[in-house]
Amino acid sequence: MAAGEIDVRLENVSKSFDRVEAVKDVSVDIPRGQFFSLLGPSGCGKTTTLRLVAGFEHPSAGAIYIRGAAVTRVPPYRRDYSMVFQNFALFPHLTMAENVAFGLRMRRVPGPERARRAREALAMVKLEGLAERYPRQLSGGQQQRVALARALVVQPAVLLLDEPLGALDKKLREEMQVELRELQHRLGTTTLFVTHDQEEALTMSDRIAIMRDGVIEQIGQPREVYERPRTEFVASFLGVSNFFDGRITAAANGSATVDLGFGQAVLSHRGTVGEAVRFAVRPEKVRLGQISTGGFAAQVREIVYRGVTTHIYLDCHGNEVIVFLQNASSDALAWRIGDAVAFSWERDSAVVLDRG
Amino acid sequence: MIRLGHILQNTIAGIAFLLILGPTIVVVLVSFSSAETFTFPPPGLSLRWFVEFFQADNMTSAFLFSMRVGATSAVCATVLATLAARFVVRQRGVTSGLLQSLFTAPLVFPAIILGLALLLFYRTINFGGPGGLILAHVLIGMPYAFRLVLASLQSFNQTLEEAAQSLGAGPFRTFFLVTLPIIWPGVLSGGLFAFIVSFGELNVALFLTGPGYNTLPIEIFGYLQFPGRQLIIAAASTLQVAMIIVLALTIERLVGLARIGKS
Repeated sequence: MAAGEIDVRLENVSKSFDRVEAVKDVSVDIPRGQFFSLLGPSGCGKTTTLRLVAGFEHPSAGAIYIRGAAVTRVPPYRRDYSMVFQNFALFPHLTMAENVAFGLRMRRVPGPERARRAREALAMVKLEGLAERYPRQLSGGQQQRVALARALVVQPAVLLLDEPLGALDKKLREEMQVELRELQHRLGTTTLFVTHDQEEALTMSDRIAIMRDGVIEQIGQPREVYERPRTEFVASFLGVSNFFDGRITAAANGSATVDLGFGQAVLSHRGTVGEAVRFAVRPEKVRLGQISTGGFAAQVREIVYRGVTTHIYLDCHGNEVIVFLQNASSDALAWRIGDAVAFSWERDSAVVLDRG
Repeated sequence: MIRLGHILQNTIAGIAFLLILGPTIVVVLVSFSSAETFTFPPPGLSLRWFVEFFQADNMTSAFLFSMRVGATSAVCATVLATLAARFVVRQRGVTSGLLQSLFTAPLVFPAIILGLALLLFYRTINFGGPGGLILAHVLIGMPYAFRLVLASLQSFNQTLEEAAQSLGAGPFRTFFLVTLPIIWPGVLSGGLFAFIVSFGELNVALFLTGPGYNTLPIEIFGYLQFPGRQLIIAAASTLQVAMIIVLALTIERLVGLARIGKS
């Protein structure tokens, strides 16, 4: 990737508030057209990172570039971006059309062109009929779309989204996820998205950075971070994982045999004999069978029917193991609480985690 | 039992209102008297004292001067108060509290001492005249304007300013295109309040007015020292009360507007 195609670059950016470090040495490159998500629990520094790019906060150390221009010390109104805020932040004293045209007005776009582009932007979010309404006359979903139109109409180098779907109810949120993604694909606008909702991040992103305590723990494509989490935090924050601890008893050719206390597992891992390892297995990768089929012995403790899937909670010598079974056939529903079962997984489904 | 408590409560409230409003009501009633001197209740009704008021040059010029002082000092006080409130609302914790006390200090400072202090100060720097009085009234009116503007800024969603900035609006355009159009009821109420305070102010004016630039309260005060035509004062007071009521109702309406604007 040539350097010129990077739309947002954070170089070793740190930010402290009153000696508390909210963001620690974060470096990120976002190539043109990418939908990039910052994912993490509240207080992990994701919003601060976004506000640093927006210019509402200034970094204690490091440098920020938007489309190659160093903006570290540039005020927000001279940076080439626009933003959708968590509670939309529509101007209550302006109509929808005026709200959308605001950015164009600031850029001194002449009146007729401004009106035309504002109209087009409202049409893009399917709200052309509501141009003369005021924000308080609109539903949350409609306000959300106007906020999006207002941000996109200025054709920014980068679109910043601060949990823009957080204020909507679940159904509407899912609709908007798809709509937003479609729009972003169509326009090709580089997007930096902040969310604490892992499903939202997986659904929308080209690339996800998982943040914790001001540090990026892992960056990768959704599938990569979901299937190959590097740390326990990533494995548990992004979806659900079963964790196992063991000690390596034999190691050769990139595979290791691990003693779990209740059995032996073979992992794809370069380790040394005696090394303690912790690894994760996704619940949907765990296979469940009769005792006779082989695997680790366990007992069914609880069964939860969830429509698409059935969640089965196993007790394996005091360890809880969760298994997600697809309800494609009625197999999953054949189990009963108290049944003695055996569980296993394919070798590559077990992901060894960094000790940390 | 509850009923009795209720009656007692209402009675106390009634007495309190009577004590506050009673004297004013007497003055207002007497100003419509047809009598030559103060008698209550008035023997008959007339508008003669209002006619006399508007025919007395010193009264009308004092009235107009008070209007001018009030308007000028209110505008200045409101501008300063808005700047101060914007600064304070951006501070956190202790700084915010300290600055608020500082900006509202003139409220608790005895006006008579302020008047004397300003008189001595103006003498030393060779300043005075109407400008000196206006400056003093800016000082007295600012805390009121500050309080009201601060209240409206505190309920103002600061994210809107960030939204404006993210769309390319600098500090000036952000203020005039977004902040002010939303908080204006508070700003205007603050200005009207400052005007009312200046319009009725006596203590400081006693020190800082002079021949040719007397405010209405000073003129009324002066009349008290002479016998005869005393009821012209009642007429002047009634006019003043009427004006304050109109302004107070306007403020009430604006504050209501500000609340509606918030939701």
